[in-house]
Amino acid sequence: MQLLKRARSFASNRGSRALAIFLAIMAVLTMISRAVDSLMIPQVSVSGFEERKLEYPQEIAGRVGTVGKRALYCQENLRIENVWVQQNDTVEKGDLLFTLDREQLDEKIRQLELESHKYDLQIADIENAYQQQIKQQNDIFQGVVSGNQGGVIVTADQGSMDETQSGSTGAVKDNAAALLQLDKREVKVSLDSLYALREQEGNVCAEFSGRVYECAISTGSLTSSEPVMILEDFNKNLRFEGVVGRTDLNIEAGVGCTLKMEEEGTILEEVAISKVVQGEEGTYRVIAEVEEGALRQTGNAVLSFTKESKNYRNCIPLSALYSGKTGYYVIAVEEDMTILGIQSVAKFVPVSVIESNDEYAAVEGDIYESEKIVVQANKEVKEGERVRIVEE
Amino acid sequence: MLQQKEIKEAKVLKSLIVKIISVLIAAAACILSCIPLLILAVGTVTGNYEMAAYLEGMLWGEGETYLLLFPSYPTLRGVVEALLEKPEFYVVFWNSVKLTGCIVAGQIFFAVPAAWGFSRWHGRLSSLLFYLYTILMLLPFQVTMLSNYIVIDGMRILDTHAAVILPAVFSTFPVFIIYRSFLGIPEEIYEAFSLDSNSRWQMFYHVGVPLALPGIKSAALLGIIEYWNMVEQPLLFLKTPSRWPFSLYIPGISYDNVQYIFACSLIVLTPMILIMFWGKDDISKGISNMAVKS
Repeated sequence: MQLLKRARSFASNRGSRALAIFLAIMAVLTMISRAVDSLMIPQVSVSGFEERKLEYPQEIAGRVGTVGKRALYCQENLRIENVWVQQNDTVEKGDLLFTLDREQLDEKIRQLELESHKYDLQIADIENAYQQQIKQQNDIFQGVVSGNQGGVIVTADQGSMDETQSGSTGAVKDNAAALLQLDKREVKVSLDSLYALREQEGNVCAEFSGRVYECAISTGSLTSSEPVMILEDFNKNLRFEGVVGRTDLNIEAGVGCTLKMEEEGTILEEVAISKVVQGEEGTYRVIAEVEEGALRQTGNAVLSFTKESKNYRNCIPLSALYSGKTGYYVIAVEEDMTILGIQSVAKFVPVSVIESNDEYAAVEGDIYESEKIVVQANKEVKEGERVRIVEE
Repeated sequence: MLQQKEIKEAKVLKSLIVKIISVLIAAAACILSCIPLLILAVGTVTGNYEMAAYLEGMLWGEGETYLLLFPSYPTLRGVVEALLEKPEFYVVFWNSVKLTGCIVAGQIFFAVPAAWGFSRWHGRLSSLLFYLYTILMLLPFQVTMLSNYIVIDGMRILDTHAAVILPAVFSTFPVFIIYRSFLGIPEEIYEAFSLDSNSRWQMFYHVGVPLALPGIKSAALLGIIEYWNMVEQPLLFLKTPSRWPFSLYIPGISYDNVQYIFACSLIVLTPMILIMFWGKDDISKGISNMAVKS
């Protein structure tokens, strides 16, 4: 009780009260100071040195196309009723490409049949004329023979006359008839083709899987001697072709690459570069053959490959490499005994860069493999400054 | 008669002149003793670069050091830095509070019974022991430093706060002050109390301590002032920076933290100013009591 009274008396003393208030204020400020410090202190992510090879990934934009293209022809002067595909369409074998006008097709067939028939008649006329001519010559010859006296000479003359007569008239007959036969044969070929089209009801289908490279017809147009379509044949090997500048040329034939089709997203691994050919204005054409059957499409694609350096013991992310007036340095984090106890403190360590790519740099200097270095910081870190390591 | 009057006036004039000169000398001494406090106050509101320019000789060892009375661009940046931005200051501040508090509490705990014993026990051995205490009190820390170190090392408490607290707890100076306070209590009071109770503890607790309280307070306040500013003991026994009191932290002054150091010093000085302001009567009473009885 008396002790309590004394304590009260002590507390009522103005000096004691002022001291107590001062200490209370300092206690509050201590907590505020800690809170402010936790906000102000640089927060850093750290990592160690890595033993690795530096990779140089490169991408070449280009196009996958067929090695050869095939033209699709059709009989001339046929009207297109409908075109079912357009340029760059991928077609499978048997897919309908276009349809011909049936009426016009029938009319065309009829015309060709008539033409064929005309040829038949003309050939028959030539045959008849030839037979009559032979007969007339024979008659004349018989008349001449019956009026002559020298047997041996006659025989010899008769033989040579036969040869002469039959040779001259036969040549006339052969050329005319043969020409007609040829014309007729052409007509027949056309007719057969048209018959086939008619059997298919005027529909023309793809004979192989591929891609429409060029389409020269449209609805209502007439076919001509030019190809109606040019198709890329997927059954044949596909090939990637891209162009790179001289500075980007870090590649040679035989390097394994990855091919990615841009539209479909198909990825082909282990595509080997077959050729690197010098092009125009310091550019290089990179060609890579795609294995048969590996792709069923053509289009824009990206060929990517990675070249590796030799193995380095001390590699760091580029974000951990800083440059100052005296050159490159890394910020090592060391445990140091400070007023606040054991704290992480930043220490600048000069390094020299041996090699670097877009992500990593191989460095050497007064560094330890087990050392922790700052790879990311939320604010600028100063030499000797305390840092807070953020756990990832 | 006239001559006597003149002599008297001359004496009055002389005493007046002496008084004025005494006051002037005292005022000059007072102003001179306040200059460090003035420098501290000015330095607290002066920017680093301005203050560093005035303290060139002190900071770099070359050039001149001047007294700055009015800063060109007053700023409280150093105070904000000390109070809010640097938790280091609070670590050393609370270390000082802990060390000083433990030492003074320990001293009171051990010195009061010891002083009571010396004051009530009058014998040869008691006198010899008190004589030894007095000699120990006169010995400076530098003399006892080595023996202290050996003992502390033997106890394996080096680089701990106990290494600083334990030797100081058993300091003889508060025993000496409190002993004088106990001696100042009239013997009749003890005799009167002994009529009511034979208990020596009751006499100590109900008579001795309350009546010697000014001396105890005085010993405590002098202890606080002494140990709040101690340098040698922590410097010798504490190696880990996180255990340092502010007296080891403040000397790290440089051109880019001069204002911060001034601000820290002023903040650290505040509790001493409070103690001196409200405790000066207790201190002077205890000291005068000691002097009178001596």
